[in-house]
Parts: sequence; structure tokens; C-alpha cells
Amino acid sequence: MKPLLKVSRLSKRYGNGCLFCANENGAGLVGNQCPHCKSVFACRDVSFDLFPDEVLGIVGESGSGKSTLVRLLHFEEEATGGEVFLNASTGEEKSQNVLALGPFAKRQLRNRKFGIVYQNPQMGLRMDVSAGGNVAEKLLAAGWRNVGLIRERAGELLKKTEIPLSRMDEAPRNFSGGMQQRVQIAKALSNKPRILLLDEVTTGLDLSVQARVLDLIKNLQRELKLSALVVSHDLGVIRLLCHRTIVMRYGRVVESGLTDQILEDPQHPYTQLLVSSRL
Amino acid sequence: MLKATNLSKSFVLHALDKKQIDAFRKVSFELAPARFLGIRGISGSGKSSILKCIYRTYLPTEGTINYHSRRGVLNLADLPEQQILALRREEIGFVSQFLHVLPRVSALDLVAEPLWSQGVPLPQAKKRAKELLGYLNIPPALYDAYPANFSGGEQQRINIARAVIWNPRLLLLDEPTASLDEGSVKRVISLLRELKNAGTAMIGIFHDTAVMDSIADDIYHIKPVSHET
Repeated sequence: MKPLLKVSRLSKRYGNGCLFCANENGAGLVGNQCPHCKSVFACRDVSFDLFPDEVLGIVGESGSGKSTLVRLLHFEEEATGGEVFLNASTGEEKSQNVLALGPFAKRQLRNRKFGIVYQNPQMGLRMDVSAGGNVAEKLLAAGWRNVGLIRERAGELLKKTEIPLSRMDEAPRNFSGGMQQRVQIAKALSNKPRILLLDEVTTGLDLSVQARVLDLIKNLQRELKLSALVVSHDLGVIRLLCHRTIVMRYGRVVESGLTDQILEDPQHPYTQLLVSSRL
Repeated sequence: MLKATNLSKSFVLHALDKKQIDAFRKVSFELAPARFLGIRGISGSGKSSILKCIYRTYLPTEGTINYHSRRGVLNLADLPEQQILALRREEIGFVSQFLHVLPRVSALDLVAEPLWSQGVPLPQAKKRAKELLGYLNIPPALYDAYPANFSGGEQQRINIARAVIWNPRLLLLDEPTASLDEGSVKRVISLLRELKNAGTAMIGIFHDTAVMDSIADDIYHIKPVSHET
């Protein structure tokens, strides 16, 4: 089976870098910072594959580079190194480094192939535009033009994410946190993405709401045959959703494996610490 | 069907100055198709660890586990993760004492799910799930309830039902009857026997010798590793 997404030595450096941190292969860094030029490496040589229908977890403490990784893949930040290959559709043989595309092609790819849900709904939604309008915006970006069809699709998605249709024309500002999160999910799914990026989507939600959002994501992922990257610091969320998991620290991948193996037989000292710190 | 050769597992605990703990050492055994291999040994001798190595929840430290899958002979000890995941979907099941499932999914849906994942339509999968839950004496009032607050014995029976429903080719059982009453144990054993007659090979651990003897065709005795520091 060929991976849907192949990430190879992806790096993001804030700062100019210097000969020391360029050559040391990260060994001389203090945490994720170069002691000479003070550049910070949010991601360094991150490589992994994401397969069709697969849910891949990314864990690590805050500041480990998880969210930066998601932003790089969503073209919100420019990588300073590495490549990302995407097999746009099955059967298409040639894959290309999508980081080398121009801004228009990147935007098009993002609008057609990716869906993203942020921890903070304010980043993913326009709070003063109606819930339906938020979904419609993404559909317009993905090339939909027929207003009737757009409204129908928006209604269908909000129903799927359990937002009452009677509130479709209301602005998310008036919604609870859990509802806002579900509007984000509806928006992320609207363009029938191949890859869903979920960045700490259940963090800060009540337990009962969290369970509902998790259940929703799991069902949608199976029903729609999506691949997903799930960023979370909650190992319980990772256990329930993810087939495989990668562990990040100081911008690097320190371990990757089957999720149950990562949780029950962690190999790296940091993963052992992380797993044994679980409540 | 499955042949383990010189299989060993040790853990390196980094927090304890890289202390090495051996779970089991140089274990070899063979499992024939449609047979039940019981593993016997005192607690701490590594019985569960063997099952977890086969399922790859643990990474074996050395040795091979040659498994005759539908796709040919595969060494589970170093098979790529994607292929392990495929085998877990298509051929190998695991029953543990503990139920780790999504919160707020009903007992009936949980049991129907593995069969549904095999491509059986949902109504049919639910029908079969109901039969199994009924056979395992789960009260119908609980079918729509969430198993998180079920009793330990009820959760175990949910686990058994989830494993039995999709007829895996290989089933690994880690104390599946640990907290069941006698009547439930009998029913579980007869379900397992039925599954075995239908062709499923099994490796299992039971703390109760009589229960083990009532289903096992062969027994592998494991000796505890002597821990020297």
C-alpha cells in the first residue's frame, strides 16, 4: 500500500541559523534552540507516512512542535527544509513535493484535499458569520458555485455533526464550546477532504462533550474513509482514535509505532516518562 | 499455523538507570490450525507478555514468530506496522481482561462493530450481536447502555463477544474468564469451542487449571526467568 502523505525531513527554523546548528544535526542544541545564533527549531527532520484510512497520532508536551507540524502541512507556515509528497488520488502514479508549489496551487490543494480543526474555534471559524455561512465559505473556496447545493450540503453536514438545523443561521459566537467545535468539524469536512488535521480538538471541552466529539470523529472517519492526523497531549484520546502514533520532543520525532505499543511498551526514555506520567 | 522460535522479551527502564527486566527468555512453541494452545506458568512468568508480543503490543526483543497468514508466512516479530494493522483487521483477534473502548457507545454497537467492519451490513451485525449477548447472559436492558460502568464480569463478556463475532483466524486470550461466575465460564468455553471447530486457532491463558484443561488441546509450560541484577 502506498502512503497518501509522505513527509520527509520536514523542518521549521525560526531565526537565521548558523554553521553550528546547521552542521550539528541537532546534537548541540539546547532543547530546540541553538546556543550560538539563538534560532529555534520548531520541527527538525520530521519524517513519517500517513496511509489511506489511517489515523496517526502525534503526541508530545507543549512546545514539542506538534502544532507547527500541522501548520506546515496546511501551508500556514513556510517550511525551512524537507519535502511533502501527496498522492492526490489513487491510481495517480507521480507524486510531487507539494511544498515546492506556488501559492495558488497550494491554496487550491488546501481547499480541496485538507480539512483542519483547531483547538481554538476562533481560528477556524468566523464567529460572527452564521454556522451555515462558515461551511459555505469553505465550499466556495473549494470551487462550489450553486447556492442551493451549497446550502443543502451545509445543512447535511451540520446535521451530521449534530447541530440543530434551527440554529444553522445563527453565528457560532452564540454557541457553546462543544457546538463551536462541531461547526468546525462540519466546515472541515465540507469539501470531502482526503486528510483531516485535528489539532487538540477536545482540549478544554467538558468530559461529556469530549466523548461526543470523539465519537463523532471516529464515526465520520470510518464512514468517509478519511486519513487523519490527530495532535493531542491526551494519551486517552490517542488510544481511542489512532492506529499509529509518533512521539515528538524538541521538534524531533523520538519514537513511532503502533499506538498500543507506544503506550504499553515505549522504547525511548522520553516516551517512557510520558506514559508513566499518565493519570 | 504459528511457530515461535527462541522468542525473548526484555524491557529497558530508562528511569531506573537502564535497568533491564526480562519478561521471558528463549521461548519456542508451535500452534496447529484449529487447535487451542494453553500457556501455563506462575504469575510473573511472562504469559501475557508472550501474547502481547504475538499481537505486537510489545516489540519482541529477539526470536521469530512465523505466522501462516492468508497471504503466506509472515514473521510477526518484525513485520511492518501497516501489515500488523491489516492482520489485526482481517485475521488476528485479542481478548484481554480490560475493556478499552470509546465512551458513550452502546454495548450492542460495540459488539456489532467488529463484524460490521468486516463488511457485514449493520442490521445483520446487530442481530448476531444480540444473539451473542443473549447467550452470554447480558440482560437485554443493558444492550443500549454504555459498558464503562458495567461490572467487571459484564465487561469481560462484552470483550469475548467482540472477539467471537467476527471469526478471526487466530485468537489470543489473556485471562478472558478471570472474573466470571461458573455459569458464564461454561458458556464462554462453549463459544470458544464452537469457534475452534469452525477453524480458529487460539492461544490462551486461564488462571483456573480446570477451565484451561476443558478447552486446551496442548499446554506450553513456561518457566519464570531468574532475575539477576
